[in-house]
Amino acid sequence: MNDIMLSQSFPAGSMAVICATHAAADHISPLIVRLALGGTVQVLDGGNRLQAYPLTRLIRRHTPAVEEVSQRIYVRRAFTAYQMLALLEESSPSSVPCILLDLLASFYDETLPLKEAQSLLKRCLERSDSLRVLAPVIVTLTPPPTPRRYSLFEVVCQRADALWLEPQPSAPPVQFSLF
Amino acid sequence: MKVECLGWLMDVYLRPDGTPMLWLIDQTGKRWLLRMHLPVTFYVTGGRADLRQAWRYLSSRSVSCERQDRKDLFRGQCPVMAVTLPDPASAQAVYHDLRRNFPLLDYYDADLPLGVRLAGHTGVHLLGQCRFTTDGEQILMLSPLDSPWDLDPSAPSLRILEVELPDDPHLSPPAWLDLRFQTFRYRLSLEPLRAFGANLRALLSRFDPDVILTDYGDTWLFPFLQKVFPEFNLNRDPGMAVAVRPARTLFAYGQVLYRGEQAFLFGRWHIDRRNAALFGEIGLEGAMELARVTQLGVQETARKSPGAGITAMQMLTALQEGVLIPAVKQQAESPRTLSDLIRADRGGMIYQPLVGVYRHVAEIDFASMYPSIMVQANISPETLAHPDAPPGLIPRTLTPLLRKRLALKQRLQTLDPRDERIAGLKARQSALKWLLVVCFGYLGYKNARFGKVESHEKVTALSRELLLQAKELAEEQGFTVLHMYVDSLFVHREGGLCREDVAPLLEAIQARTSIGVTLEGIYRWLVFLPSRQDGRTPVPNRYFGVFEDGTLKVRGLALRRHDTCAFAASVQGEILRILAQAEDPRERVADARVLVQRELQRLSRGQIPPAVLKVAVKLSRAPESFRKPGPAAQAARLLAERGVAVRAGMRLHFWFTRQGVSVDMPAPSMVDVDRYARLVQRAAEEILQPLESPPPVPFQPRLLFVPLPVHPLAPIPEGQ
Repeated sequence: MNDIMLSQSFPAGSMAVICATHAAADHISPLIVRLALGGTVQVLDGGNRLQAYPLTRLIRRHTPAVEEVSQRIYVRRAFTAYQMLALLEESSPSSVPCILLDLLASFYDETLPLKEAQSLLKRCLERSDSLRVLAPVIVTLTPPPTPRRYSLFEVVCQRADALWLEPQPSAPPVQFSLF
Repeated sequence: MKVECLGWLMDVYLRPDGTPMLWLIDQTGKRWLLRMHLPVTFYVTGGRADLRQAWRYLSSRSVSCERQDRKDLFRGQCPVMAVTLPDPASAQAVYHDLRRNFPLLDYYDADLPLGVRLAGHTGVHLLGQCRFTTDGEQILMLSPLDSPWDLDPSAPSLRILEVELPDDPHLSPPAWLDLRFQTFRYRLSLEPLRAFGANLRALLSRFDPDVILTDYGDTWLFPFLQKVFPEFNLNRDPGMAVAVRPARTLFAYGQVLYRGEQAFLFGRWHIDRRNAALFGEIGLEGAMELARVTQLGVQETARKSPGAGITAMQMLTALQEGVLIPAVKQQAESPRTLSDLIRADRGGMIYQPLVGVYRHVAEIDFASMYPSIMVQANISPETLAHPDAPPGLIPRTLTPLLRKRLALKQRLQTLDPRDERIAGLKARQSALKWLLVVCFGYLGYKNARFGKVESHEKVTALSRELLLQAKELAEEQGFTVLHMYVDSLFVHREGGLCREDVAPLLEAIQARTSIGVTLEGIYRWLVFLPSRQDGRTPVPNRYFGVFEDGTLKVRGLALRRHDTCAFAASVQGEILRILAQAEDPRERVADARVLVQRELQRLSRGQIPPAVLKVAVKLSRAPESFRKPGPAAQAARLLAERGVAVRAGMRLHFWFTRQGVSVDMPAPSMVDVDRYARLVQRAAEEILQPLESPPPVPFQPRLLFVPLPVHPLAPIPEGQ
């Protein structure tokens, strides 16, 4: 998945959605580094997924100017769906690519009523539409933990211009018993 | 006819029709259930157009609104729409209706606990002494007579009924219930049911308890009574039914937790000792202390995490000072770069221990370090960017709490160990300690109304600095720092150590950091254990030692784990007691080995009662999600086959038998002796093996400067 993603170009106006276990945290780091090597990048982390130290090590593999590159990665974390909305509302459209890490993590929280989650997500997506006018928006997701929240996942996927879904592990082969 | 009384406010709740009800006990011991008029105002802000629409919407429903200026914690004074309703229930209904129809608006003071509202409105706190006037139906006047921060609050004498079951009713249906009330003891047989019901009713009516303490009351007894006697009401308030909250699994404090179904009473309290998070440690006295300072009811404080209490306290501070309380947390993290995040977002300081056996070690603890930092450094979400700001909301909330706990601790130190007040004071002190423990985490907690993650980071940053200052002071005074762990440090000095030797260090640390430090004690010896995988790698907070008075202190060993069977834990405890008799633990290793052999022989002969071989494991996931079923998953499957609803976070009890896992106590001959022997040996080796092996080479990164011989460089021959 890494190679495919890294070989992609993300034009302004597009929204790419990547869905994998752990919100594709392993796959997204090389992409963040690639974007940061070229300029500023904004990361809005909705599930505390940003792996700061591995990300720094990854930068070091590409350049000795670790400090310089890591100064170009702007990070904000949201721990609730309301905070995610606040982050998006406070971000103004610019030419800086925006990565929404594990966008739905707090929306999957069972203490947040589904209707409220749907309404907040709608507002988040409207906001992300305005953000992607000048620069791409890349969203990572975790599959919903319960079928009840599947509708949220679906709404985001439907909004995507490009969608990557991690293949589900197939069941292990069954050993037939002799008797 | 009007009556004026002095009494105590025990609880406050809403009737189904929305009427607030107060349960009071007066000085004569009379129990009162009285209605109260409690108007509620909540506030709304947002875009002008939306706000105007909301105003029209409310006006069409004859709800009174007015424009006011209120203080927002972050924005200062701002115009809001104040919505006033005659009672809390109608306020809740209007709030939910508004929120559904106007989701873009921001709501404040809309969903406060009833106890917080009452305290904000009248100044009377739960469990507090008060003066009230009544006509026998309704409260006409209510005023406070004491403060929640009084060190010796008066309390009414409570009638406590205890209900015990012979065993876990989920595994085997009980045949009887044991009831205790003061000196009375009753055993009520569950068969025949009709007689059981009549007896239970008669006892309740005769004793009229204020508190019903049960085992499995939430998860078995109350649902059972509801099923077999649907018309039987255990409440003192006949207008209320038993309130049942469903079971749930939640993820908190890094682990999966299971909260069973909960049954709440009105006009009296029900506490299930098996389903109350802190009750085992703080008891009724501690739960009442928590209710006193947080304004959450006793039934809530006994069951809920202390975090809910801290939130309620912050709400009350805000309410009393006219600060708006947001219905949802809105403040998001400020933008920063990756390198800034790495610098800021670190936890507490851990200085890896120097593995080995040490004699004469002093353990020094900072007293309530994190809350003290929050108060002293004025750390509150709204004061982060303003170092000279007046005390913030969080420090204002914590200051009286810190003072009260410190005063209780000081009083405990002055009391004779035989004093009968000690148990109660300890319980209250411990309850307050839990509030202080969680108050720091709540700065960064996702649902804390006034939290902000940067303030959380600032506390840990300051704590690291303070611990480093303490380390420098210790080293200046000739001590070797063996280990530091968040708010404590272990120091050692060759040639012996006594309290007087450490006193100057304590004074110096206190003077430098301005935070109280205490000497936890001086260890006669202390062993820092290495990692099981690599004998050279130290492990933080994993040690055992014996204080000068012979008291043992253990961290990170099997006997501290919930999943260790009682037998393995007792063998480990015995080993430690043998070692504690020596001046150096290595002197008694051979004796400890003899003990282990003897216990293993008893095990192989079937002389160990299966009851102490029971293993308790918390189920980390839903049973059906296990791909490779381990013992816990097997036990879950067995229980599910019996119709027990097994959910993630539940603690399951089982035994290892020759046939696998059993959830029923097996006969001694059926026990898997080899498996238990391995558990015991592992527990023993955890202690003994590090004492026998030579001290490991310290695995501390050091800069080595090796003098290199200086030779003039010979010229390299050409062509090479």
